[in-house]
Amino acid sequence: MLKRQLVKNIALLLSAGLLISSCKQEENHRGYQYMPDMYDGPAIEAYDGYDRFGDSISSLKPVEGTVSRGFMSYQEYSPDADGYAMAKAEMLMPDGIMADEKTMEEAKELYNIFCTHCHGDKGMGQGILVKNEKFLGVPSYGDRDINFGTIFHVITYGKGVMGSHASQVTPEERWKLALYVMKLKSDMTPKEETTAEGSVE
Amino acid sequence: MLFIAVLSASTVQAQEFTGDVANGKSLFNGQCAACHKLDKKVVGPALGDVTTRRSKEWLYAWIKDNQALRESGDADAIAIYEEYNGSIMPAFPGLSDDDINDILAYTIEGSKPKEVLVDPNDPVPVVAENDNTVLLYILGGILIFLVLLLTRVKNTLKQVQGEGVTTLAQDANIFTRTALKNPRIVTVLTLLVAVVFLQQLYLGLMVVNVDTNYQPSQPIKFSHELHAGTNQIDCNYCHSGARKSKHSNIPSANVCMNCHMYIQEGPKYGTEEIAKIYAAIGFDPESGTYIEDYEQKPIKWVRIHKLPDLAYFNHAQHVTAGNVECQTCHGPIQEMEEVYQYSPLTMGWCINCHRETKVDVKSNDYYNDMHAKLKEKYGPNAEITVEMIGGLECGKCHY
Repeated sequence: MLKRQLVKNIALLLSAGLLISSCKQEENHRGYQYMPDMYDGPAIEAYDGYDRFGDSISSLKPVEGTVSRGFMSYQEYSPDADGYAMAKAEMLMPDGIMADEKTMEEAKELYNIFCTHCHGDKGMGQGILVKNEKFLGVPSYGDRDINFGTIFHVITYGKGVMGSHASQVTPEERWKLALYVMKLKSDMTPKEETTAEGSVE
Repeated sequence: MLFIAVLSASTVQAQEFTGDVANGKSLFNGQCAACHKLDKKVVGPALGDVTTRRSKEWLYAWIKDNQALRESGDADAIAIYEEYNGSIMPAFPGLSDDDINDILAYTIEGSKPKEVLVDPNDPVPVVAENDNTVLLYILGGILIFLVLLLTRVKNTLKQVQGEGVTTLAQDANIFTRTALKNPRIVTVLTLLVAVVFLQQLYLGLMVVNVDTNYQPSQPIKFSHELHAGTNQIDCNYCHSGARKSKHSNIPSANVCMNCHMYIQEGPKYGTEEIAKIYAAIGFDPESGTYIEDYEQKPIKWVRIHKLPDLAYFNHAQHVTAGNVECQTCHGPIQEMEEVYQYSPLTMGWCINCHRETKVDVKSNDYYNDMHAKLKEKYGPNAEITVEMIGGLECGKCHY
């Protein structure tokens, strides 16, 4: 009788151990929480699902016509060729943005994040995506007739196969990028006679 | 292709373009491919059959300076300009007649169906996985075979000695009875079971709420290995909010479209996965335009890294002020085909990093004032860790 009890106890312990250890992480399952109420508060976080809004996104789009703080109107320049020509003819670098060392350093960092993979770190159009033959025909800044206005316009609205980067870089950052692109262009110009056309950096 | 060429020869005279195809290809990729593909309309029309649509002289004039051609009143030139809503093709005065000839030769040669040596649709050869289960089964089989063999041997020996034969089951029964009668064996056995049980209990409780290696399937098989690894796109390009905000944002579909308006086919899944972006945002890859009045649907990415509501974490604070690499917490993202949670994200893990990480006070204006005070407190050459600037204060993360 005692033996049978022992065997039963051992079996019970073993199965309990198995049960506990089965709470491990699985690929598609996040696992268990001790106190879910403390982990998921009632406040709606960004990227939470939220069914009360139609498509269950917690981050809603701002009301149409919302103007963010520090917003610079750009409406007079349309996304098409006319707007491009207008930006080229009349847009000027705002007064507050100077090409000092600190700004250029920041601009270089921005350029390396947002532009290098296509335009290349020297702006010759030989970024890694071009070398990997994902994108083709990215022009060198040196070959294009560009100024601050056109660069701002192209970053804002895109041109050709380049999409609009307005959601990723603020207007101020766009001006800084414009400074850096023009610097790359001017770095290129005097070397053009010595460097063979199409050579890489 | 040839068939179409023969058909359209009635409209435009059959034309010979015997140029250097290789030179044409490099010129095309350098000068034209930003807006034109051979087989598909991108920004400008597909050019694979352009030589059957237009005359040689017209093409020369158009490519060199299309604006001049339009101003001369050429009806075709004005028509194509209007068809593409007045988007302007730049003039290429630098291209010689020979260059243009080479490019046009390439448009003919490049759009001929290629002889495919290796079918790209063939499934990738599956690499045999290092799976131990088969080996374990073989070992188990050998052991069972040995047990049976030894039982036979034992019974044969018993028969030789003239003793009674017992089966395997009877042997086992006798063995268990004897063992359970022995208090030492029972004690050792019970201890063993208790230790295993407690260990499993401890390990089981320790992983509750720790989601390391959580790797959910995502709605689109987006590969960080391809984007951040092979193509070296900066993390901040897509997750542009990490530099400025509490959250590192999941890129919205317009960011995908910055590249995938042009790149419509991936190396692994072809058009299948990229088509899911188009389905979400309403883009027609055939015409290269967005469908009007399309009901856009959000792409429901599955969240992986999730801190509890009781802990505050700010990305900008770490990425911009602290200059922490994304990989420090997220692991080798550039090698992950599918992202998994690399770090445990437990409090001990946070604290440990705050203790060890040295703050780069010198090249960061943010710490200028603070640095002077810290030098007074810890001496001029002390290495400042996050702990020393209050990184272990409870209220820093819990409030």
